[in-house]
Amino acid sequence: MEEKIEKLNSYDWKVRDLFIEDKIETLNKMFQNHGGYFYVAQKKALRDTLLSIIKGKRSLVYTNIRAEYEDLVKKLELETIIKLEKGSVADAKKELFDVDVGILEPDAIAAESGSIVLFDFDGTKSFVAFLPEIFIAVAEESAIFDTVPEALGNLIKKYSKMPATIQIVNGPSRTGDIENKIVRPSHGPKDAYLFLVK
Amino acid sequence: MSYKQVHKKILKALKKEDLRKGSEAATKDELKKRKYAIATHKYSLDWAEDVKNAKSTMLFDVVSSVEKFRKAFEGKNKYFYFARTPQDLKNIIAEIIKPGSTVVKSKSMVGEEIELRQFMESHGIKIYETDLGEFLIQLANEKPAHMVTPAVNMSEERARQLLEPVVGEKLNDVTSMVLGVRKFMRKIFFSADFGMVGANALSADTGSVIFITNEGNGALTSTLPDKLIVITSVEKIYPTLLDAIKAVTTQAIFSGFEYTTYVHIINGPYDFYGPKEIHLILLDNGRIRNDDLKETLLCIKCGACQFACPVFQVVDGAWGYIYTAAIGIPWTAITNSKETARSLAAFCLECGKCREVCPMKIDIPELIRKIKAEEV
Ligand code: SF4
Repeated sequence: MEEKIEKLNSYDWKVRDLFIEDKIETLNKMFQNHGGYFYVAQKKALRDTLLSIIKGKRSLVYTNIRAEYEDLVKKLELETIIKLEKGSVADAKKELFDVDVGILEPDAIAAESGSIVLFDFDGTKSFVAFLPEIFIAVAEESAIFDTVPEALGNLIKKYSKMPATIQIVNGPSRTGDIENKIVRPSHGPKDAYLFLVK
Repeated sequence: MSYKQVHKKILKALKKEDLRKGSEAATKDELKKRKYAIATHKYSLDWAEDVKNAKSTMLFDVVSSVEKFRKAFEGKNKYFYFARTPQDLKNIIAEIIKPGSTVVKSKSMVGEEIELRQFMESHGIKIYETDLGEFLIQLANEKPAHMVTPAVNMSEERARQLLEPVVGEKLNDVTSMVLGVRKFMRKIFFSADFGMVGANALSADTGSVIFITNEGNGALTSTLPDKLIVITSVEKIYPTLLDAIKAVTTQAIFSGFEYTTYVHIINGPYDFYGPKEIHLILLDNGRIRNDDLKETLLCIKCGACQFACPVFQVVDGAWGYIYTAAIGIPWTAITNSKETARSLAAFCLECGKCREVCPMKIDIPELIRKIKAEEV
């Protein structure tokens, strides 16, 4: 395993000849191209924007968010707020079958492709990103990299081990399988939000 | 298929005015999307070249590539199987999945190649295709028309006729069809015993499985059921995870998607939620011992050559057997029947358009010529 990681650390994960002048602007453009919503929010304004998104919703699930956001999320006025951590799989499935909102902090963001990158060791991040109707990722500016390969190279170094899955999410789910007409959602979330908190 | 059978199928398609119109419009659209995607990503041509080089090194000695991947993949609750023939693969499946089980499956050309769904149904397994296009093909009991968009030739009206009885409600437009299927499938996703996925790439350094989808069906297939089965073929192995990522990116760009909504990289079972065991079956089916048509194995199945083909533009999936048009002919020769491939090759116009668009720069006309000239 260690040998494997060492080898991975020796790759050149940078995409040559690619220079992104304004990461945030590129990210904004790309994530919207995918059909997602992108916000740069001041910490103070985050709560209000979240409130407007979850208006009328009933349930929320979250995982992997830092304490200050957790406080904020816990205080949102919703019927059910679930923190997804180790527990009964059957219960989690029951609770998440028609959960409205999912929130997490992604491991990295890639500007060039407008991607949310998740290193998932126990399945919780995948559940939160795939099952709810609305998926919200709250990221800090330091999580932004130029490209997906660059983000992966950095995360492998950071964790020094490979997760069970790496999930790369580019906006909300969609299909064009009937006469090329694009419809959202298909089986995943209908809306995807990416917040960059300053 | 004999020459006569192919001829008949093509004539029938030519008579369908709506198919021709639909297909022409769809292919033009697809080609435009592809051009735009390549132009937007300046590195796409460089990456295509990297992918070709990486793939070539693995194809040089497929047997040891398989061995390398196996070693990297195997581990706790991760089981590797090698299937030389389609029958081998089916036997393995019958061992793993007991009759009466429910399986949710996302798209896999390998599955199509060996008619796996039909086998599983006959084995008493309840199998649901979860990619919308593939689900329509399953309901219609047809074969996919295209590698990436299997139901590219199906009209809205026909889709409605197929879906309404299953979903059990009136579906007025495409949006209500998609939402109806989402609702119907959701329960099945949550209660299925097995998830089954194909792979777009495998990496020999980390033993990872990489696959891409837009609909999120692959996301649910690979996270909700307790057991995951991966069916894939030997030419998907890349030396490194980085090469494999470049390969799926190149595939998405050249198929005109630019970005797929999801890229899943699976390294192992989860500690907690999600599948607890992973079974991976690697199929050969004529690939390894095929020296004359070996270049075919460079194909990353982006489908660009299909849309660029003037015959495909007019008759669509009617020209082919599972693998359609252009590169479909050598694929048919390798995985199915040389006789069928020869019958199909007779309708190739030798215009060379497929070679122009192929990111792997495969000399497709030359492969078809060899088949035509009975050199293989
Ligand atoms: S032969 Fe080339 S263009 Fe055709 S599907 Fe394969 S990689 Fe794509």
